[in-house]
Amino acid sequence: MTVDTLSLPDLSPTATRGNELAAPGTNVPRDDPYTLDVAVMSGARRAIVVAFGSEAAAHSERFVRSGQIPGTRHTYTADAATAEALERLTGLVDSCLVGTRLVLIGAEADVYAGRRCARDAGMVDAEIALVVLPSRRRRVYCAHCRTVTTTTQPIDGVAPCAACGDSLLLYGHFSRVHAAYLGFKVDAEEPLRESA
Amino acid sequence: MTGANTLADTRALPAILRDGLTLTVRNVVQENPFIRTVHLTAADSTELPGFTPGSHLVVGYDAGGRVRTNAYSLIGSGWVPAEYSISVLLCRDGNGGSRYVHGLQPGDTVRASRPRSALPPVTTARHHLLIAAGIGITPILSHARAAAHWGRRATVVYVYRPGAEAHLGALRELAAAGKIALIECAGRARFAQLSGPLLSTQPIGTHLYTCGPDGFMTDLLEQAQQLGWPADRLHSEAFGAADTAPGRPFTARVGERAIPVAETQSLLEALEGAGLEVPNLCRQGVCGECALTVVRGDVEHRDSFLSPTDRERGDRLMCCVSRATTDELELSL
Repeated sequence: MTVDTLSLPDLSPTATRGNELAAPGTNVPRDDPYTLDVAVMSGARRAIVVAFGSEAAAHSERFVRSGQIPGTRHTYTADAATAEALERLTGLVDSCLVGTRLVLIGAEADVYAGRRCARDAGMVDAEIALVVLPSRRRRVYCAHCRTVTTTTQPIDGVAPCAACGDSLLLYGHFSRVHAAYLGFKVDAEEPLRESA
Repeated sequence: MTGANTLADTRALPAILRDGLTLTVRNVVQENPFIRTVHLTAADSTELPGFTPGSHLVVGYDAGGRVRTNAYSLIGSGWVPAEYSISVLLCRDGNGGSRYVHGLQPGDTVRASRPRSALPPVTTARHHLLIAAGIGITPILSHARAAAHWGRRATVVYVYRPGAEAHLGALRELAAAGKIALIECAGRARFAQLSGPLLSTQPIGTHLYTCGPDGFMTDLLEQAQQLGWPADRLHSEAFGAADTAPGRPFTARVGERAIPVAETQSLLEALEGAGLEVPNLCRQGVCGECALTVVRGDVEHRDSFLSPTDRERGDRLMCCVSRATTDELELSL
C-alpha cells in the first residue's frame, strides 16, 4: 500500500547516501537517509516529531500515513535548528513521560543539534530516531577559536572561520555533541614563511 | 571451626578472595526471623574502600573443606564507609552460604572480596525509580541512601510480605526527612495493581532499578518494555535461586576424558568432582565467570548472563546451571 504524494528519491543500495564522503575509518555519520529506525519506534506509546524544513515536514507526513509513527503524536516544524527551535524542542522533551519517542527529521546539522538537546533533557539514544535528509549544509567547529561556522563545503573542503578568519579544513571527524565537523587551519603543518 | 582453617591459607583461595579483605564482625542484628544484618570492619582497623551504590561483597565460606563463595549486596551508601553491612536471608536448603552468615558472631573473622559494582546508578538520570521485592531491598537501600546523600531524586517501591520486611525503618526515616519518596506495598497482589500506573507516569530521564525474586523482576521488566521503556532505562540484579532443577543426565567430554553428569548434579559440580579447575563465582548463572567453550553438542541455557545472540551462536555455556540436551557435550576448558 502506498499513498505517497511525494516524489521519493531512489532508495536502492546504489543510490547516493547522505554522506558520499563517509570514508571508512572516520566517524562521519552513516545514517540511512529518509529511513525511520524501526527498533527505536517499537514499543512507542507517544511520539514527538520535530521536522526541520519543508522537505522534512513532508517526510513526517509520509511516516505518519504509513503508520510508522504509532501512538499519539505531537508534531513541531521549524525552518532549522535555531536557538528558538531547540528551546521549544527541549521544552517538549522535558515534559514528556517514559514511553515517548522523539523523531528528528532534517539535515544532519539540525538533526544532531536536536539530538543533543533531547539527551540533555534526559532522553537516551534508544528513544531518538534520526532521519537525515541529504544536505550540503554542514557545521564546522574551529579548533583554534571554538566558533561554529555553517558552510556548504564538503568534507576535506576548506571554509573560512566566521570568527577568526582562518582557512579551516573540514576534517572527517564529526562531533555528535557539537553537531559539527572538526576544522583546523588547512596549512597548519606547513612551515611558517619568513615575512621579510 | 574448620572454615577458619580452610580460609586462613590465602594462597589457596579463589583469586577474588585472595585479592580481597579480611574483615571482623562488629555487630549482628536479627531484622526478622529470616534476615540477619552483619556489620563488618577491617580486621586491621584500616579504612575500608568506598564503593558504588548497588555493589556487593563476595564472601568466602567453608563447605566441607572446600572454599565456596556467595555474593551479598552492601546496604550502605558507599561514601567513606566506616563499616560494610550486608543483610542475608537464611536459606535452609541452600549451599550453606546463608547458614554461615547466620552463624557469625561479633569478633569472628570473614574473608571477602573487595566491593564489586554490579548495579550502579546512572549518573545522567533525572529520577531513580528503585523497586525492591523481599530481600531484594539490600542494593535498593544502598541506592536510596546514596541518593539521599547526594541529593538525587529517588522513589523507592518496597514490596514485602508483612512480617518479612527488613530496613523499613531506615527507609521511612529517609522519606520522613524528604530525602526520598517511599511507596510501601504489602504483598505482590497490591503491587500488580500499582505497577501499570507507576510505569506509565514516570518523567523522561527516569531509570528503573529492580532487585527481587526472578519471577518478580521478569514480570516487571516485561511490563515496562510493553509500556515503552527501552532496555537502556532498565537495570536489574538477579537475586533469586538459580534454576537448579534436575535435568537429563549426559556425558561431558573434556579432551580424552568422559565425565558423567548425573540428573541432580550441575555440570560444574561434575567437573569439580573429576578434579578439574573451573573458575567460578556466583554458581547461579549470573556472573559469567564459569563460561566454557562448547565444541560439540547442544545446550539448554539456564543462565541469565548470555545474550540471546550468544545463545543462538551456541558456542559457550555457563556450566554452573546450564546442561546438555544431547547425550554428549564436548567442551574445551
